[in-house]
Amino acid sequence: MNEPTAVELLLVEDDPKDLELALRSLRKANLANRIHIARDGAEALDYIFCEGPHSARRITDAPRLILLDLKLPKIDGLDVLKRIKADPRTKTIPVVVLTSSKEQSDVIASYQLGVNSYIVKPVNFEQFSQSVRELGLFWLILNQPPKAGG
Amino acid sequence: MKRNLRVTAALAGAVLLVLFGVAALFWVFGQIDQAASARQHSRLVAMRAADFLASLIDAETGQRGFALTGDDAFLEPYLAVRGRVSGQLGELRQLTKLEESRRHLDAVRPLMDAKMGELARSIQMRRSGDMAAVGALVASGEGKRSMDSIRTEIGRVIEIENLAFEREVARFETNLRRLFVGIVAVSLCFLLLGALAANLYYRNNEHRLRNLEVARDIEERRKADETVRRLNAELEQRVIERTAELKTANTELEAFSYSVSHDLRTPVRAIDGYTQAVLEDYGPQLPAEGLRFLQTIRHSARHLGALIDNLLAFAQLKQQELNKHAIDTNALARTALDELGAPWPSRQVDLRVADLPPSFGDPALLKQVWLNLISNALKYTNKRDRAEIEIGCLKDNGADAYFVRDNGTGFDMRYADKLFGVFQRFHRAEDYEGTGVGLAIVQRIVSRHGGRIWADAAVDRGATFNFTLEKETKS
Repeated sequence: MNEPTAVELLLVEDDPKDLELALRSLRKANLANRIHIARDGAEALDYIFCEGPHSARRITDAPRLILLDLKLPKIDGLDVLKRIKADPRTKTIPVVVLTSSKEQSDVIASYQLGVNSYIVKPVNFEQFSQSVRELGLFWLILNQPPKAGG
Repeated sequence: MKRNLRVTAALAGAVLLVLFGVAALFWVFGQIDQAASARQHSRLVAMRAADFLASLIDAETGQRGFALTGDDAFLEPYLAVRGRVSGQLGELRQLTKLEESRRHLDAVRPLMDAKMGELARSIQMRRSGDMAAVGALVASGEGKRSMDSIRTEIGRVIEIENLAFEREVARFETNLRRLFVGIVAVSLCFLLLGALAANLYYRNNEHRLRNLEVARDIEERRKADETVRRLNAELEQRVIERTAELKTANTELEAFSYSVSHDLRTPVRAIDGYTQAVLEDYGPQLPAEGLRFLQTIRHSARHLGALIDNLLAFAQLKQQELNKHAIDTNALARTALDELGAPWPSRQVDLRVADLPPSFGDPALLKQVWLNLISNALKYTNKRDRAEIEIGCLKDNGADAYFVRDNGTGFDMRYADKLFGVFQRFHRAEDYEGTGVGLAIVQRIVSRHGGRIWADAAVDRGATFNFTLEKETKS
């Protein structure tokens, strides 16, 4: 069981507009109860691996889902994904890449690194909103993850 | 080289011949000169010998006259000759060059002395008046005998000299002929020498010319080789440069695509999203005009998003690798129809789908072809009360030509060549929505499958799009 302090969703997004729109969609679908936001790859890694400002956090209190943009400042999304999936403590956390990039090279690289889903942000906001709702519904509610650390 | 040696030898021979000829000519010329002077000399000796004899006869004639008359006047010739004859004989002996003549002349001297002595004695006898002694002396015949002997000897000398004269004349003439022949021969030798020299010069020149020509050929070939090498090097360099340029262009294109894909879509989504948010949160507070403006913004943003997506799809078609399979075309067309929402319950669409032969190609891309063609048919028939859409296949030059036919608005065939260009639109945006990329994508996919696409249409009488695909390359 998750600790009450554990977040349900880590949202890694540098673009404030996309961030706001994503949060709006999640909120409208009643999926955004406990969300932590990281604005670049370094922040995301600090949070996930309990470093820097997050050193008090326990790594076992893993988020139930990480929504990861690829094009991020400081540390690229693919590098964040690589760190998560290379570490046995974090590799079971479902990671969904949610990005504007339709590049096949990005899709292939993400799947090779063990991403759980790759979703291209639709230009159409309604479709975007629907995507966010559906993936939140699936990963946070329907999906049964293995117990962290177990 | 060998021939040159032969020619050189011949040339040397000719030179020797000419030298010999010239020497011979000099000799002949000497002979002629000698003959001429000897001829002259013999004639002179013969004349002097005759003079000598004449002197003696003059002396005798004078002596006889005196002996008969005792008149001193007759003695004048004798006196004129008396002191001279000995000198004449000596001179004659020196003059002649012939030993034979000299022997005869030596024999003359005692005879002459005797004769002159006899003459002197008889004159003495006549002066003393001893006529009888004179008569006896003459009668003794001594004077006549010595005179006859002298006459004989001098005659011999003249004969010998005349013979010598004849001989020298003959020698002169022989050598004159020899001179003529020699001059001709030497001239011929000169001609031969000239010819040989000319030949040798020509040969050498020719050889040198040939050498020059060969050298020129070699030089030309070397230059040609060099040119070919240089061109090859340039070509290689250009290929390298062009490849590098293409790689750069490709990288730039990829970077551009990535940028378009990522950066350009984000703001478009923001425009759409925030407009949506305003409509959702503040819609009720807005006047109708404001709502319409916001709807227009959203509409434009979505159109821009579709343009970007289509353009990106079109650009990526070029690089995308084809994953070809045998395809159940009936199933593929069915899938496309399903995705497009067939059978469109909100509209009156009369859809007829014939049995389609199997095709060969990349299923995802060929599905896109069907999707684009069928959605076009739907779009351009949406003003018809009853849309007719027919999907089928005909034979075109032995190839399967699939077609999608509609009874829609059609187009003017005059613009058919622009039909498949990117962003080429035949209708106003308010009449038919679209990005102008759909048919360009279709054409690119068909051409990447080795096929052909063409259209038949008339304004307001519908359009038919036909396309072929290459046959399956492996069984």
